[in-house]
Amino acid sequence: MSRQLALLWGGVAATLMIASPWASGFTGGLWACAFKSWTGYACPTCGTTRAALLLAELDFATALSLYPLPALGWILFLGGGLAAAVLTLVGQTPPGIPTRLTLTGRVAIVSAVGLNWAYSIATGV
Amino acid sequence: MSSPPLPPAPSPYRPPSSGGSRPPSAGPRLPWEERDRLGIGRAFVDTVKLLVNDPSDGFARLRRDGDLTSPMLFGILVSWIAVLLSQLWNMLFASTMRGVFEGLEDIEGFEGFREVFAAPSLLELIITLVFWPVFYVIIVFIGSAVMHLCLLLVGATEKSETGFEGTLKVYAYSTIAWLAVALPFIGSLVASIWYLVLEVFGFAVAHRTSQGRALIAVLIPIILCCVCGLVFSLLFGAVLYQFIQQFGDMP
Repeated sequence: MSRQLALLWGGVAATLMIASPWASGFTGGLWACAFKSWTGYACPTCGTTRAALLLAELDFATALSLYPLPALGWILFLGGGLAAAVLTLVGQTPPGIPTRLTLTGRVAIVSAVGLNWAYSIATGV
Repeated sequence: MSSPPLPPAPSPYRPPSSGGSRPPSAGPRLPWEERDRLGIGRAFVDTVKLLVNDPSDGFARLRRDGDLTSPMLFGILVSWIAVLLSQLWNMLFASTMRGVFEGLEDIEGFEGFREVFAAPSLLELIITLVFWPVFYVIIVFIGSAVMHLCLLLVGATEKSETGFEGTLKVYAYSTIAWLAVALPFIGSLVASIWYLVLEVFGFAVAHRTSQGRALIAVLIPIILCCVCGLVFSLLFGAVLYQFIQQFGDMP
């Protein structure tokens, strides 16, 4: 991973974490998910914003229990960014972002999204 | 029986207009990436012209190094203009748009939707424009990350030499589509479609993949996220249709 990319990723992650106390102010203007309003069921990406808001309040347990995949995604994104920036600043090269994914990896990602959706519908979040 | 060897596939880097096979950095560069030599004004205008007229050629001229300053600066400039224009339309047509979407307010889940078209105050406009570069970088970075995952899923990056930086650059330069918001009322819709088209051209060139594969990757977030979007589009279409009919009935 290039130094510039690592620092940019770290900067984005740090900015999001610094801005987290005001997160609800940024999302206040968003309207409800149209799919959920109409069908009563969560859509595949439902919970992404709510997971971010819970994480902004440092409520990791609720975020992970209600919206496991979006919460994990946010944690990986923020943690990865900070780790990449710190590694770069101490003179090490962070591992690159992959350009290939094995079939197992692809199946795992698609399954995770599907399972997360099923979980959202089952728990009615 | 073994079949004769196939001729090598044509390089996806080849821009349609040039007629020759060359990697992105071998031929002429994107004017914006030569702004030191050309001057910012001319480099910006030439890049806009190139990406509008021949996006494949434009993306084929991308530098293959890790420089992210140029695409980010370009994206910030273009999106700044787009935000200014859209806020201007909001100021001018807020009451008309709120009237158009009045019917949508009665539908569950769309309460308060008309507020999207609220006219911004001057202070709101200034704050938006001041903080816009930060918002833009965050939006582009998260968007590129999601898109890169989709490209990985369909195997579109297997021959890529530009990696995530390539995805980020295409994503940022595709911001040129936001200029479509210069068209009142339909600008956002045109910009969304144009953005997708640019992404397909850009990813195909930057990651040396087919446009079909790039298209599938670009459509994944839309299909996933826009199960909601589909419902929204249907409602939007219905309201717009009703508005056009009412408009047609006017004496």
